[in-house]
Amino acid sequence: MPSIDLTSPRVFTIADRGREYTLTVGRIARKQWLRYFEGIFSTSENQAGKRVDRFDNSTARLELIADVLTDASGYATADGCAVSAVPGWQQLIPLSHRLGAAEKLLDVAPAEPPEDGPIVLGAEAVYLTAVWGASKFTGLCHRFKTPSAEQQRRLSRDASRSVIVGGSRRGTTRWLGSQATLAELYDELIVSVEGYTVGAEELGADRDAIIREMDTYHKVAATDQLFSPAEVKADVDSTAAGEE
Amino acid sequence: MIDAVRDREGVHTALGEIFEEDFLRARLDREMEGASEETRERMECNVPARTLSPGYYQFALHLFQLESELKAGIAVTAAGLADYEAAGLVVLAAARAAFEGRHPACSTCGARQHSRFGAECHACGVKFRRKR
Repeated sequence: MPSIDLTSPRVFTIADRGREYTLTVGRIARKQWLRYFEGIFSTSENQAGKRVDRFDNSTARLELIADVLTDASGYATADGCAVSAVPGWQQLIPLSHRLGAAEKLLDVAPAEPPEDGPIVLGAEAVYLTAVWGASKFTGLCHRFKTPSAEQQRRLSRDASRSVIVGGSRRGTTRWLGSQATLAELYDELIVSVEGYTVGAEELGADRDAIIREMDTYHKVAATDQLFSPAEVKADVDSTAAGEE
Repeated sequence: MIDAVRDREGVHTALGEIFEEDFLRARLDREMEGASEETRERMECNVPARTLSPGYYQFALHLFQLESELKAGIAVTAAGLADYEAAGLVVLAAARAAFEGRHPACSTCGARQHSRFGAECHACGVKFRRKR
């Protein structure tokens, strides 16, 4: 199975008006990801008794990509020098290109587990699919210890933190986000991973290496999935079924 | 800007609204058994709309969860409890006491009453004696 090499730069190729451009993103540090999460506007309002939620990460996405771009090619420069030699070049890349690359950085989603037998008690596995550079990887597995009550409480506490802007009644709730806590919990709970390497080395069950090397966005996505309730099947109407 | 978890008055109001909402919904569920869809929708309109920004209700739900863990005997150390959580639990106790004052329990069957001024229990029919 192909693995994500966490040390490899992510190279995105953008086709635009018959030409190809490449944007290269280096390793994204934990604090860069946390800055991105802090920049997300996740808000809720009470409108006539109904909760209305809004999510806007457009500014945070642009700030993230400007922060993590390490190189670009295919673009012309005034004096023919390399793109990265132009002062403030990250901001001069066309907006649509930056947005496209940022979208790919965030392309990490929960995935169905493979059909390989029942869940082993005490080892909770979470599966992700993710884009890394030009490739899409499936079956990325993160195995966790079962979270303690204290860890669940910590997450619940941080997920319920918010500030109200504009007054308690008509104001907007801005959620402070729990991604930093999710990343911390990942480090506390992770046991092993599959589908990730550092160079040619599988991360496997090397906890220290996983904690050190794993991309923070993947950490957050995997832990978020770990704490999300599973879908519970319910009979449509057991009484009616019994009467048949 | 208000830090929702530290706004005791707001949290108290949100908790009070959740108590009333639950009480009313339980009553409607009892009364709506066998009712048509149209009647159900009409009766659902009787549930008062929430009045505060959603952040208060989210924290209120966290407090309910925390309280249920404490009641179940799950040990929570003082260090594991944030100051606003401790303050929130006190507000929760006050909000519950206020709710129970508005809806006293029948001394015979224990059912909570629609108000303090009913003449008889809506559940078991026992007549209430007024204190003179």
